[in-house]
Amino acid sequence: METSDEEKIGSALVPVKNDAAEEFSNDVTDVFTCQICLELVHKPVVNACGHMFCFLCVHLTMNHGWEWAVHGSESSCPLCRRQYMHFPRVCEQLHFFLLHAFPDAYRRRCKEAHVEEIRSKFVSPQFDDGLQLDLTEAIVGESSHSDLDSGKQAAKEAVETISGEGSPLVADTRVDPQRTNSSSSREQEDGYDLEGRSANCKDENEVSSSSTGVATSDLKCSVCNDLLCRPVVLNCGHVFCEECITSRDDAEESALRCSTCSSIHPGQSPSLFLELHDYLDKTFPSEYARRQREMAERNNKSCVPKKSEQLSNKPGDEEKSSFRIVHLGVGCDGCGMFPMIGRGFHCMGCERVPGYDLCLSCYESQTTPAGRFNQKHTREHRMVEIGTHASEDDEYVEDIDDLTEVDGILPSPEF
Amino acid sequence: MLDVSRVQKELVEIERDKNLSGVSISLAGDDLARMRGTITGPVGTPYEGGIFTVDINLPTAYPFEPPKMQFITKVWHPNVSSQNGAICLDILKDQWSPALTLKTALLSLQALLSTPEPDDPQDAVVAQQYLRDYNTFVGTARYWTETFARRGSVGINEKVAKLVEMGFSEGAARSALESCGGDENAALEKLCSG
Repeated sequence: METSDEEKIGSALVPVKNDAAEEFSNDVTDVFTCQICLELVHKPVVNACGHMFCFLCVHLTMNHGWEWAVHGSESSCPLCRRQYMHFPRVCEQLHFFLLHAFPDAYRRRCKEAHVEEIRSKFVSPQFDDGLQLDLTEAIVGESSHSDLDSGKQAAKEAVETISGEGSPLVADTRVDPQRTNSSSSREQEDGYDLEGRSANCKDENEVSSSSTGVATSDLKCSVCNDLLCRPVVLNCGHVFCEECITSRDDAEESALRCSTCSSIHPGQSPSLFLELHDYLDKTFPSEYARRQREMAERNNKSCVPKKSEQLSNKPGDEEKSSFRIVHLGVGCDGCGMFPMIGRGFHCMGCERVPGYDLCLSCYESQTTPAGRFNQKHTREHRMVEIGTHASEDDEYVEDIDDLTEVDGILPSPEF
Repeated sequence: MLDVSRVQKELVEIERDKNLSGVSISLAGDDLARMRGTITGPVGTPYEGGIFTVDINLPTAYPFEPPKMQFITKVWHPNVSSQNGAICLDILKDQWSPALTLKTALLSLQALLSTPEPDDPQDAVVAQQYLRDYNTFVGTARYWTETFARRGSVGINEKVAKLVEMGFSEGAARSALESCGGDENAALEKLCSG
């Protein structure tokens, strides 16, 4: 770590005097702020209700639900309280978009968040994004100061900031348009390139926003290959136009399936991702208006009944028996179901924390999904049904027995 | 552990519009886990004109667990214990959401003052009075506001000055007054008892 602890903590209150900090304090924070940590969203996860939070924030929220056992077995969205049962995967496209649109702010955020994730032992999936976050470096940096001291120091800083009339941070929220423009043009001069990613997807129709250097190609729907229009995010983290997932040819199939990774979207059909919708509307006004007109026309022409209406009361993949086994505190690493309901399988080859578990349907699908927490799970690892004594690994069995003791038999959910 | 960065952001946000929102917050210890919040009594209620102090304790899992809040100022209200200031409010218990903040929680307390829920009481005596004899309830609530919550910033300074004249240090006098909700005599008693 290059900065001392005091500097690091102080920087949370006293703004850093550089372009990046000012750019960060403008629109970015308003549009892509996680409403849980109040920071720029990191590894965004979008719930089916269309609300976006950081990966770790969603994980911690869901995890506290069961420890309290106050929300029953379902989690509810922190913003709209819509109930859900599946921890969605990180929206990778949005992650790369943020990295491209706000390179300095997002990079800084990634570094901070990575330290937090390591501390919590639940690390988000790593992408090939060129950030090269070193796990060991973060751990060494972490052990060099105690949490208690940092809390006291932060409290002192807070007092100073609050008692000072017209504190610097409050004053700093004003927008300085000249600075913003200069900083964004500087980014473009730097020739920021996402491992050749942005270079590959350039096309002649590309429209780029003058203020941020973001191009429409960053926010494309993979179905219609055009700018996203009324975006929705599936449980697997892939983004599509609302129209592109509701008016599909295979409408006779009951479950909503992702056309990119062909995983089934469990639970309720996704709602409009409002933050991105508003951002698109603001950033590319003419292009977005064109897309909305196109979609409206397409909608009028097609007489196919809306998929979303059919899906709204779908019972889901859950068992319909009158009783069910709930693995409290255990989630499926495939579909993200949390807590896991029904028969579950635990990996004996992965680290104990965070562990790797699959629900029955993900286990039977034989696809070996990547873990939610960057586990190094492979097909060769041995999986054991939770609650059975099929393993000789005594310690593990004990641990699993503990889990099943907590498990309760709960009445079937009301769908 | 406590999300220091988020709490700092919240403090700045509360400070930014404390004049408009009618709620404010200050630190009450040497770390961020203990705070004092104040809310102004809503206009058109028996609490109008009062300033109510709330003791706030942040659990280490905050914001994933609700902050613990308790009135320090004595309040006559069906959902607040007249004995110890304990509050009965769903968002401070099972309806908490990590998207809520200290500011929204304090604003909810303010809203609770204007819309009591006597059917889900914290203090059964107050709730009974509210349901059976509303006029007496209003009278008592107003009297309590006048007695315990009536203090402007000038008032508290005068009280501190008085206690300092009696030979107590300013810091001790101020904290004693704060912990007694501005009640001069109770503060004096507290200072004398040790």
